[in-house]
Amino acid sequence: MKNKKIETLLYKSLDSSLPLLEDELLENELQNSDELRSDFRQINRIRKAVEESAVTSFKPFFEERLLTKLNYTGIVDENLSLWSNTLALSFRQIGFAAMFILILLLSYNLKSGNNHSIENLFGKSKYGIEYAYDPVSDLLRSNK
Amino acid sequence: MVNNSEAKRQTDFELVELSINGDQSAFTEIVRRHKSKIASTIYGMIGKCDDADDIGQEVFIRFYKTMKNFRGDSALGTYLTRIAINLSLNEIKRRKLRRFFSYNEMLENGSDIADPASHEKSGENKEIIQKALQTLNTKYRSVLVLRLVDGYSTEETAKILNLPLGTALSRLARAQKKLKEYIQPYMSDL
Repeated sequence: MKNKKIETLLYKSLDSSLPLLEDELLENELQNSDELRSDFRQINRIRKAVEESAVTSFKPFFEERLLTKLNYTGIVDENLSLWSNTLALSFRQIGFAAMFILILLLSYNLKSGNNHSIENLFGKSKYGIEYAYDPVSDLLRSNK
Repeated sequence: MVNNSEAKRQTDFELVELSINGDQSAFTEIVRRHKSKIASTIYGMIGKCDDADDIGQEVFIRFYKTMKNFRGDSALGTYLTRIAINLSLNEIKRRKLRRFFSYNEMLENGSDIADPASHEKSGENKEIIQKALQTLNTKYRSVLVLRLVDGYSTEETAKILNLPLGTALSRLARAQKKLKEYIQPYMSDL
């Protein structure tokens, strides 16, 4: 193809619509040039051959193999556990609030108690229920 | 969970929604609908080889993992094709690296670039075209595969590849010229 502009128009015409003037120019050239017509036919044959060269199938059982892979690698479970993740996230704030209250209580216990023992921290009394019914301890208390 | 015949009546977008909620038959229907186009994209890009099937699987696995991000701005087929093109380009890069680091392997398997003489008697048009496609630079190959093999419009091709329309058109023209140069000796066979 000698004329670069016409060549460009020829290719362009195959993939988009040309403006009227360019379209007329190309039509004229096609009518007058055997070489251009031959090129046009060749390009169209190549395009058709490319279109027909498509391989449109994978190996057999493509979907089955894919689903096995998805289930085997746990991707399915990952996606399905999404709702549980959402649930966990929504309860996270409640968890943080509870943690904050717990720290406040522990600090209060530590401050109000007279020692720094673990029992005091958790507000655990040194007098258990058994102590209340213990006759010896009862005597000791009355002596005080 | 929808059965197969119900799934066939659903739109792509509805199938995606069902798949997000764990409906595997809806996901299978998505795969069934789009696998041939994905196959033609991948085979067009990397040629007929065993890797193509693995890449095809990877396209749908990638989609499965990220389908909750699919908003339906573009058609599902276009979305999947974009993944297929990206994965194919990665594979081509990997092959180039492999070839670069393994000279012996290259000698054993030969280059991807086809030798025209090897086709003299084959008469297999498909094979000639596929080999010819492999000789093209990936930027030309991708436009040609999307436009001619997959049948996307020029606008869609430009959109999938994130190119201005003018660039897509000029790449298409350049790709066809190169292809014509390569195929010229076999024109009588086509």
